[in-house]
Amino acid sequence: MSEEKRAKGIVKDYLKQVKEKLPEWMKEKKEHKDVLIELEGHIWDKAEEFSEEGTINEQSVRLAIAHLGTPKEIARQYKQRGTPKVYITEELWPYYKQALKFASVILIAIYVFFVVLNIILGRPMQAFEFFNIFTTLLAVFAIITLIFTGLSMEGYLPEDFTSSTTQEKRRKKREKALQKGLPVDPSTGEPIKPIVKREDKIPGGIIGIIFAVLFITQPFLEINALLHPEFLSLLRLAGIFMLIDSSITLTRGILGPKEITAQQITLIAMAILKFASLWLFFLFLSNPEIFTIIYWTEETGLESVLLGEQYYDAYQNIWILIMFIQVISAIYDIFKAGKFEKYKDLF
Amino acid sequence: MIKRIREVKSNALIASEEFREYVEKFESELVRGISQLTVLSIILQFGKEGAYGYKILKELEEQTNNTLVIDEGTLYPILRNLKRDGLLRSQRKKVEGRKRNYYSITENGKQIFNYLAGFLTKLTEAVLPLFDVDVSLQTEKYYYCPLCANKIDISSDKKYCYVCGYNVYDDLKNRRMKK
Repeated sequence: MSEEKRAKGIVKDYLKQVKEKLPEWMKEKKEHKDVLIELEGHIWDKAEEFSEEGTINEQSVRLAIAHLGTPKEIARQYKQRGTPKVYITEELWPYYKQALKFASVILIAIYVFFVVLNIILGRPMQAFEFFNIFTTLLAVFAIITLIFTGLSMEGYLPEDFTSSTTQEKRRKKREKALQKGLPVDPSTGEPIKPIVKREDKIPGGIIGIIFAVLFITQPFLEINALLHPEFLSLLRLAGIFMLIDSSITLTRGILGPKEITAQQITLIAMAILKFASLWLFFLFLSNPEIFTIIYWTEETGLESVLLGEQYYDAYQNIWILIMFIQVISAIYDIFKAGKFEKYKDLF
Repeated sequence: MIKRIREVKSNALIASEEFREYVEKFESELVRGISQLTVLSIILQFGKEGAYGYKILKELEEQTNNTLVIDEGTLYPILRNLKRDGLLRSQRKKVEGRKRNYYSITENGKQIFNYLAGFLTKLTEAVLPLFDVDVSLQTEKYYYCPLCANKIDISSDKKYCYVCGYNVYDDLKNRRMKK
């Protein structure tokens, strides 16, 4: 075998070993090919430097490889990617926390399901025997921690789990958000969406509608009999305002954060409603003599009493404060509607 | 540096494993950030054409008088990370039958480099007198932003420092006139 062939064989063998040791994320992305080409070029350059006669030989190649380091050492450099935080890198930390939360919710849900099932079946104690929640949680946490520690040691970053097209889309979104001066989540790098939480708005809207219907229909005759008739009419009027308000809240929840224009319209509608409700609050404020307080005693049950004249000032001050808050809140809604404009071509 | 020093006498401090380890760790911490910056500075010298790994190492050794030596296995991950962060771009070329990745600096890379180079210069200027060393900055060539230390070429016609927005126009004009 010629000197040149032997030298090539050594390099090929070395690069094969490096490839085996390189981290998996790199092989998945086919980036290892680039690394190997680069290392090969380097070995030949270095070998040339070491060869006395200017022609590369077996010994000079071996020396060049020795200078470069063992395959394990080379691979280790490519694994040092994240910022160390305990054993899990800072970059993977938010995902680790998310995984723990997700696992806890799922496990607790399964646990509750089995407890309820056993109670229904008349076997309440068996639920605890069947499923020891604490041991299971500990075991799952330990497994998740081990997985994330392993990923951190191998130099995985969150971006290794998403395709390059998704990454590109995210990058553009992020740039656009930064240009517009919108807030960006520091851990995920994603722009923070406008705050329209479906999980708050939908149940909030439904509960509001139920109360509004009760205020309008006033079905509890016993209570109605205790209240001042004019106070009852004002409560009915309040019910109408409440119904509109809750319907708008429910609509906002159904629309979700992506319907920016619709969210702006609902916010303006909400502000108009808040200004209109000042008239209702004024009616409450100017008629303290109809304000009825309901209380309960053991002997007589439910009783009612009208507000004493000495409390009129305090009562009116409270309504002024409520009206003030209402005005601030309406102005804030208009401001929020304006702020939403920035999000328009983002989602 | 410590890696390259050989003990001449068996009772020399450098023969102590403990001393060697401690100093080596300290040195690598000091050099980590500087290595990246010097790599960028070498690549910048090659302009749009760029430079490949082996060339960068050789230039670094030569230009720093063999003082700042980056381990060969460490250089390529550094280049890769700088490319991932958008400071470098690479192009594969086949020269004299060998495939090589030529790295050149991006516009963003240049801006970040200038800022960090300015920071390092000002830091060195402030710190080195503590070790009884005088540093003289090349003020006839560069201007350092008084607010953020960004390194600006004196011939630049920029009105504002692009890092912090400080109005540098008058200062630059005066410096040019003095020159």
